Amino acid sequence: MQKHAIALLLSLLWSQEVCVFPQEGSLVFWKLYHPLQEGKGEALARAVATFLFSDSLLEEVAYIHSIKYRLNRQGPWFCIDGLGTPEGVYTFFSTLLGAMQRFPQRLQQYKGLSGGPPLDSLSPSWAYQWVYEDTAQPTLTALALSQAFFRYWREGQNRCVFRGKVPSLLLRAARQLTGEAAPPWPYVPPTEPSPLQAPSRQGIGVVYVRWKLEAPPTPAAFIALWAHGQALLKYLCDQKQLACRAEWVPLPEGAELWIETSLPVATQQAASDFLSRPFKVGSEANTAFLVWAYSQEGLLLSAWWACVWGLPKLPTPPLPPARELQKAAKRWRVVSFAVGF
Amino acid sequence: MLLWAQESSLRAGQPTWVFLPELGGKRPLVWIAVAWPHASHQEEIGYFIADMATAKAYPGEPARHLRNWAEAIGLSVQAWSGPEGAAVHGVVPRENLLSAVEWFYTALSHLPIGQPLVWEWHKRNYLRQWRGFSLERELLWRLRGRSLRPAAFSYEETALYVQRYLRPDSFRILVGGKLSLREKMQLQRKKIRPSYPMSDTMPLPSPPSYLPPDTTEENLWAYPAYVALLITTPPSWGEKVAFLQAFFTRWEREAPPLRKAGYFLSNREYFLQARLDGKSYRFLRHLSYLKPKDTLELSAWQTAYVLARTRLLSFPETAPDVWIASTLREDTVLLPDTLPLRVWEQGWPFQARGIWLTNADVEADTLAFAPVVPLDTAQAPCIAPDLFWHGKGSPPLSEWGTALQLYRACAPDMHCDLIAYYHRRKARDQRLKEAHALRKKLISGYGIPAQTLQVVLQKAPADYPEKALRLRCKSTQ
Repeated sequence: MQKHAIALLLSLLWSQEVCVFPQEGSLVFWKLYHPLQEGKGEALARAVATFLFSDSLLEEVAYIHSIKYRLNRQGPWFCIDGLGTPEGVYTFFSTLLGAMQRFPQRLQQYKGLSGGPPLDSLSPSWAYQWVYEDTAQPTLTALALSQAFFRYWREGQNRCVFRGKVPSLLLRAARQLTGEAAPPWPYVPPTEPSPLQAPSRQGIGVVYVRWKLEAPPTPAAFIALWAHGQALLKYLCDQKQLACRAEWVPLPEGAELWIETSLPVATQQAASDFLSRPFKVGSEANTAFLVWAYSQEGLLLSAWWACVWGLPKLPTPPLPPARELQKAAKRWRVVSFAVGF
Repeated sequence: MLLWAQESSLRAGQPTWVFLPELGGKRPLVWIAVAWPHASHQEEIGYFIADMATAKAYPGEPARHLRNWAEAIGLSVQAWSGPEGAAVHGVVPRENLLSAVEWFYTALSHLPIGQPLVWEWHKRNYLRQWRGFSLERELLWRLRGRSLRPAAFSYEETALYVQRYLRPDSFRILVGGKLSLREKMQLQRKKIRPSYPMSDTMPLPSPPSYLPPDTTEENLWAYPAYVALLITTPPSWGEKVAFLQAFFTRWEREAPPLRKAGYFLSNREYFLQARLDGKSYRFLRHLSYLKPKDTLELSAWQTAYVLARTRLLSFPETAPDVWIASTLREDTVLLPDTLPLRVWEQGWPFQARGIWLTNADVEADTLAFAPVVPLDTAQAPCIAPDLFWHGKGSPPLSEWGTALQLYRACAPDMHCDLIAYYHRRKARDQRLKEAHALRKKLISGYGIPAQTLQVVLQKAPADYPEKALRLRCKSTQ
């Protein structure tokens, strides 16, 4: 009975379409994101977003209000994130609503788009496609685009997260872009590639690490999981000098860490050694987390993470005590493997 | 709103404190930097020392103790060095600010001077960063007039640097965030006592400023074009930020680069590195003045300035080239909320000099010069040809002849220029002869009326190929 209640609560939190994490200041960081079905279909989602955002009015508004945004894939999510002033973001979102309405008419003049940015060995996007067994270049017909547009943008699969001072008008516009759709397709975690596809010892590669929580997400679990990942990165970068760059991707029941490396086998071995040891987390993790959550790199990511986990707010002082962090650190399972380019 | 910095020094022989209350916004973090000036040619030693002081790598003591301590108080430290000086800086939760100051004092007081073996370890660790080829690094060093030999300094030079520059009275400590008077007094009561001997010699004077060459060279690395430039900026900080935002906005709109990065290098220079396609390269080459074309562009520039200003104030740790460098130069950073309209309307001249890496592929880049040969003549739109030939092989006679014929079919009153480029005055006559010969072939072979096609001779920019030709048409209507 309790498990059913928790599952219902999770699904309700999952359908929380707009998350706002207030912060003083005159900048608004925003992210629109939707899940890719079983992690596949990035090229299609990108084509839809590219075509939608190429609306001439929207481009003019982005230019005038200096709204910088980027389309990218992170793990099983397709994301559009950006930054601007509250007025600028509001105008941008309102115009985006208009662009959505004009999309079917514009699609009549659709003559084809490229399949997306070429696979670049310098970014981990190739790793996302590889790990999730996604097709890089599907056929991008107008029909496919139309179906994907309705699935992602019209049927309420989109979610939105803000960090900053968000006026009520902007919130209202964001709610119209997102929707209270039924919980999306169950998340299918990627499995380790076959031994035939093992990466070479030296070459561009990614070490994939996934944490799966065995208890409902809590602020203590958030801090402990983040601290575990940071400790792993510090071990790989400072002690082993194998890999220093990584990207976090939150999941509904955990998180992924994509570690870029040029020595995938050695990095994977070092990561496995580290992850197999028991992890001791102390109260210094709270302080480090606080610094990260308010730094430029962690501002939007921490908000997105809290939103995906359904936490009502970011962990703030007084932060959970060390024993609570330690307790949370015992209630997850970790999977890791390496993939090569 | 103007940015006010309060500078104070409580004791002789101790650091000078610079409080910047408007930095950092209302987040529960404080940005702190300990900086010291040095001669401009000692930038690399400065970075080496600052990196050593961050204690991130060395496995032994006291670095391990410093790392654990930094972790306990939530201090994340970075090193920075520039022509003005060097610094260690980081952000820390507000309640641990006093501990952070103690940390910095301890780290800077216990550098491994007098321990050559430890110094050797740090030097080997530093040299590991130089493994492999890096185009950015190589161009940066060429532009700064340095040799490409990394870490060409000895242990004695480093020890001398520490004794000469890392003196308590030469430190300038920047604190970004609102602090109460009591907190400021507590901070200033802390004393730094270095464990190494101080030198009584005067700091070295900086060498005369190096004027980098403006060269165009063949690009063998990053397709299709790559630039490392020093852009001259206006003198005041508000205009500097406004000018750069105007430039970036115009650039991104008209001919976006493939990749770019940059930072302020000195009082009047911004260092920019970018990877470009043909269109973007030509844009940068021909830009000489930045002035808004219309009110739309003016509005976009103003918004971009506001955003850039907010980011500089909210995240000072991401812009040490602004805050630390200007403090060491004793320059005040004033970033007004807005600039007067006349400043925007007047615009700024654009001057960039440095290293331009290009090759013939840039000219053939279809983004810059799109050849127009419509397949279906019945429904072909009437587009005036603008074709370029980079001088390799034989001229595209049939392609150009066809384009002229098609254009003449829809614009009978066309007027076309066959532009021949030359580099040296001696080659002018030869180029003129070749262009006229080509014109004759087009007239006789493709039935183009003689009065619609004329030859023009033009001095070529330095990066144009030797025998380049261009065909440009327009309708006289």
